[in-house]
Amino acid sequence: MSASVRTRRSMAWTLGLALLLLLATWLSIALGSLRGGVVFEPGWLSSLTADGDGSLHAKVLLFWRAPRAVASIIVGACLAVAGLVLQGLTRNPLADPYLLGISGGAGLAVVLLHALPALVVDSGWWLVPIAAFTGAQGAGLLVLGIGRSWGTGGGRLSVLGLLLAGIVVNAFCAALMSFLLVRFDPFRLRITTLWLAGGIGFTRWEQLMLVALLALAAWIYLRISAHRLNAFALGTTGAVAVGVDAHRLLHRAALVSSLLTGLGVSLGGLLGYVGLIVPHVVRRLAGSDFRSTLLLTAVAGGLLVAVADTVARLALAPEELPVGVLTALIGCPVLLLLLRVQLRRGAP
Amino acid sequence: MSHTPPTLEVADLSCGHGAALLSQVSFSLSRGEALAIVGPNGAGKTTLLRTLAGQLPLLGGTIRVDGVDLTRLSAIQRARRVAFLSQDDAVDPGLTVEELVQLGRTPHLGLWGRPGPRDDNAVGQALSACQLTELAHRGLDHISGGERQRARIAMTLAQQTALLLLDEPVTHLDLRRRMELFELLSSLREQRQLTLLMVLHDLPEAYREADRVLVLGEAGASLVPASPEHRIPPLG
Amino acid sequence: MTMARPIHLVCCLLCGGCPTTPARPAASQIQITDDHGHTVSLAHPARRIVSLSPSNTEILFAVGCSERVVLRDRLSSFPEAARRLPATNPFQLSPDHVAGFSPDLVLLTHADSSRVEALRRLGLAVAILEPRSLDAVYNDIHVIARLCGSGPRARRLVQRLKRRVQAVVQRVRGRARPSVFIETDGTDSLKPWTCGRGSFVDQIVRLAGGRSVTATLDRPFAQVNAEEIIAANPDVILAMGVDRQSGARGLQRLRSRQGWSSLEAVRQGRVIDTIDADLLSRPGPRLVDGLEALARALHPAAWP
Repeated sequence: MSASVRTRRSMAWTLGLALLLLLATWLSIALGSLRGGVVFEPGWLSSLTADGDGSLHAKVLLFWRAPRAVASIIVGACLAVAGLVLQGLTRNPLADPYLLGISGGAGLAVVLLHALPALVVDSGWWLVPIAAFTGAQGAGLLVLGIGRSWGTGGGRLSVLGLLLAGIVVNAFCAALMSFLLVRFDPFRLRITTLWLAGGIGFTRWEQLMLVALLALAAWIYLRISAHRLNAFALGTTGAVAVGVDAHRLLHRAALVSSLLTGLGVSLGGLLGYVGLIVPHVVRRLAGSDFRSTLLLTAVAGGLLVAVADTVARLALAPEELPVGVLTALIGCPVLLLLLRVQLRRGAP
Repeated sequence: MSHTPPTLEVADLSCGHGAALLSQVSFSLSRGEALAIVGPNGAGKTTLLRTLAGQLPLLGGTIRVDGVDLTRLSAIQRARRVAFLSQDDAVDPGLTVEELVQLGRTPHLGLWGRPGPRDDNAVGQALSACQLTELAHRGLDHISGGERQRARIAMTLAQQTALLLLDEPVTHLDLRRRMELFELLSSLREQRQLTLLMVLHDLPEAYREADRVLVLGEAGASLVPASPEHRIPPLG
Repeated sequence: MTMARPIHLVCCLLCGGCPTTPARPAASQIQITDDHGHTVSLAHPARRIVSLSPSNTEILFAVGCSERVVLRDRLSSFPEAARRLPATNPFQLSPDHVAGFSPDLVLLTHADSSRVEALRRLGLAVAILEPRSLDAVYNDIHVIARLCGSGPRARRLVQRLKRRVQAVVQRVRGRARPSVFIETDGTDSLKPWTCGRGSFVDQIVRLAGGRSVTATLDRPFAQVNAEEIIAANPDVILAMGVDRQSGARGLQRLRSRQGWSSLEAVRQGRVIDTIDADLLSRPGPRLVDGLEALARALHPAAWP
């Protein structure tokens, strides 16, 4: 398949999935749980513009359903793009924010926050996202630091070193988390465990705006670096040979990925599979050129989590399922299907 | 001819991994010249080449390409003047030939990385110069070793540099493919005035394919001209 | 319809939401401060109440406001009438679901701050009542009564409760205090859950004339190492949980546990396992029932 055909194909997919995403968002706000059942309110948009935000119902739409729908899109986009970049950098299809210990760091920071006396925690909504984001960055820096000292070539960063460091940091974070959880009372323990399984819950609009802005800035940085990220397909030496400052770019792209992971975790808890599966699907559909895949990945990731969260919210209404279960249920069969098709065609 | 600076000018160069492996290396190449670097294993052939490519830091001396000091250039500026093909082929086999060659344009792309007509031209020309136009859409894992090496060279051509550094370009190829590759290189030198530095293992091969040979040994580096009678006429 | 409304809406959202309805300073405004220091105001006594913890539900019924409860949590099981109310999961509150009942007051004991925030953002009055002692329970009864406008009944209830507590304290006064191990959940027999200082169960044990072996623990609820308890050799074991798999009650379970069967308390059968766990785990009026039952079990001689 020629490159220009691939580009057009990826644009077509991007457009198609973006439309689906709009539809999914609209549906997600139109569907709610009411007294044990699921309600469908197709006229929500017009009722909002008529009532403003005065009535309780309007408030539910504006401050519960709508922000949750938008949050799920942002979470999906952040985690998927982080996974895409990490898989491209490490040239390992299993690289994912979880494997590299980055979300482990985010989770640990939030559990640590919850381990503090209640007075500290309940005083600010902004503490959780900041903790998650700081934890992700901290873990990302730790992974880079360890990976650097283990990498070949005298102190420079290597792909293998990064992966090994990630496994260690992950294990360490998980152990610390278990230690902290022991000190929790049963209620807090249950809430935190549910969060660790992935959950979107309530988000303020201010928080969403901030996260969206940061995520957009990160995405723009990645898009500008896209053609240089493509050069990693030549290997580190090859990338340097075509003028890419490979080590610095590796470092920066890895940090931006951990920023995106931290943002995703701060809104959605520890949501797995998105960073692993979405890049795979995108690559099968549109190839490995970052210039075409960055946008498609964000849209596809947003769509996956938006749908998963809506189902999680309503499948057993008024009970909620952890979203992580849903992303796995949706994502894994899709991946298996695509792998099968690919194997039949004979490509690796 | 004497007013234009030599394509490559190396003066008192020291290179190595930390400690100097080679020192006081000096030579210069003019446009279209080919220099072969030979020597026993561990003598520093790859180290020298990689230092010239900017992959390893320079321990002493100067390197000038077209009169410009290489160490003062940014990575992108350097990549527009010097192309380097390493010995190991670490390329992602999932790429197509065309995608690989397109990567050679990386130092020329603008802010958003979108290729323009010049980039497309460079890629097209590189593919045809290496006789890969028909294989352009094949995956790298679906072509032969020789074709793959040609594809890598096409990538460096797309980079449109004056100087091309090749680390053991023919080591893993059989005799026929080696001859084909050398034919390709000599025609490229002719058509594009490409200046070439190659690390080669085979001494007669080096004398045959290059204008001069840099022999690295325990006594240091010595530059030897390759005499014309060593050349074998190209295969039919 | 003009374009002004939607634009106004978007601006509001971007600025973090603006209050559309200013606070109404009504003459008969009810104001209380909940256990998290938050001020909850109602214009009139609550008419549609969502109660998300069993203790609050029991208090509501006890002060005569049961008809006003529209939604309960799944664990609220007393009195029988409460079971007929619709129920929801208190751990994953769906504000959507709660709002569907058009409540004017939501009562919680435990607080998942983000969900509480969500409810408050919807304009609902949310009061978090987390009593840690008997006095706190009395206070919360008064608070709830204020919110529902049934002050007199609450006062009478609290007086009765205080009298009963006093009666128990009198009877066990001067008697030797047995050491008690409180096991709230023994599912993990190597690390059972217990109560420490600051929990109301610990206070009940003291009032009932006992002495908790884990009174020095700094947290109200914690897991302890079984070895420590075995080493402490308590005189009595208060087993509140029921084995979920076999349904075995306290003494049976403890007998079958390795290491525990050698304890004096177990060998001599000094295991209290017949008190309904709800009586000792819900900080509401029935806590006094639990106190009476526990005191009788610890000091049977005081009730000839």
